[in-house]
Amino acid sequence: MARDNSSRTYRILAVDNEPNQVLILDAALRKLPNVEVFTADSAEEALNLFQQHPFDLVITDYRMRGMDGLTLAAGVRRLRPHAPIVLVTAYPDEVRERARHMSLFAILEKPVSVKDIRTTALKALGFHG
Amino acid sequence: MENDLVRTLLVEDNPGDARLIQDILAGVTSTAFDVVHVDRVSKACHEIDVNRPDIILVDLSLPDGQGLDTFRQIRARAPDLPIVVMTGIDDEALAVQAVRQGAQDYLVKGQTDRHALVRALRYAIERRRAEETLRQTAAELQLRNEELSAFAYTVAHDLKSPLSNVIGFAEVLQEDPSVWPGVERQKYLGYIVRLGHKMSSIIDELLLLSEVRQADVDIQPLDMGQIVSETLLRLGDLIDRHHPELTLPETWPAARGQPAWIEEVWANYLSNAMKYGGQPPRLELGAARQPDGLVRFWVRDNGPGLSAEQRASLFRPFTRLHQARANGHGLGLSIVQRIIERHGGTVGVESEGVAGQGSTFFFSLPAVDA
Repeated sequence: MARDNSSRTYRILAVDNEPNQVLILDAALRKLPNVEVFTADSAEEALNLFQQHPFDLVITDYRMRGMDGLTLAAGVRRLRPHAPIVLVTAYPDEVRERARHMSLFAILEKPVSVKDIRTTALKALGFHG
Repeated sequence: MENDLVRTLLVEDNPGDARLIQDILAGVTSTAFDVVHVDRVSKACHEIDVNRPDIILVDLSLPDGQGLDTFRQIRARAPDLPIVVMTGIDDEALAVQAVRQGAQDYLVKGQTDRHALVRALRYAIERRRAEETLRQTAAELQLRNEELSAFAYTVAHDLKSPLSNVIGFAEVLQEDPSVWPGVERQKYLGYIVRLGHKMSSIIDELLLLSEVRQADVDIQPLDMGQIVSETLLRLGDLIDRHHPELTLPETWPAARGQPAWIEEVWANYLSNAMKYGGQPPRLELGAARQPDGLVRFWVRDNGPGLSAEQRASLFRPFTRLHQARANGHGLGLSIVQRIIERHGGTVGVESEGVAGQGSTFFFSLPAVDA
């Protein structure tokens, strides 16, 4: 695994309004080296956090109460056009259809494995696995 | 059909041919033909719009329409009416093409006697009717298929969410059991068990639903007091958790139904009423004989009530199930609806939408002596 910048800490924001899924994402991502994981249980909260300090990667659920994951992605894009965004969803077709004009880093289909979450996160952060 | 009046639109520009056909039909005793004769496609279209005949008999060669074009114009104007085309002996191939495009039959001029003409007309009407029935059946089947696949889509995705948690928790724990301290670990192991049960109950509901769709309804007189007691026994855990105050009628009006399915209906209504009714829930069960020969049963709760919009979203076709699910009511109400419809009854909810005044969920079943 080659990395661009070994001294840097990467900040990942994990978003889901299902508390269990947040726990799992957190536990999966926390094991990655030089990574700091933040969580939000709604897209609104995630956008607020993002405005305070930009993240290197956003991993979000799609269907959430209130703002959905794609609307969040669009909001993040406005704040930071090149931040990689990963959508985790049980509705990949719907997401692909709606996200045609948006360059998402990846769309992961539920149920998603811990390994896939980590591999995708590493790639999104610029590590080559 | 035998004694019906068959309103026939004859489209023919040759006066001699028209006269001949009118004479033939006037002489038929087994069926009364009421013939309206026109000599142009345009007039035929007007007649179709205004008087809507039972059958159209059309010559393919007219001053304002030639060959198949004549047929197509008439067909477009009367897509659901039977059409018999007439043609000269040289043009039989054309007539066959018209049949391919939806004409019910064709007649060759000069080769058609009274018998053949009458038979062609009557068969054409019957054939069109059969086609229409088939078309309706196909459309209904298509609708049900769409409904089912939309439903399967929703449920499959609903199963993915708990499954996703089970796999996630198990994977994280398998990799490193110490990732969470002891108490938390126990809690998440407990989640895995509970989510497993949840998925199992979604599957049970699915199986019940497919049984309700397919099995014959074994309708018998119900001992409603007994069924309600069984249901309450079954909901013991929920009752322990919510401590509802229950009011039951002393006697129940006699109704008929499939006992096991009616227990499912009560289980759905009562568990919803305990979960979403007031705190603590005060549930009043009741029943009354209706003038239409059905008995209405209900559960009244003391919850926040439901707005007109919420009420409309509860009992919905499967295609809209996701919406209903978001309101916290599960697959359950769809099952309730299916079950009661199979009994010839109705389901619904009444609520003023006023907090504390609650909602009344009801279903109806045939009365015993109805």
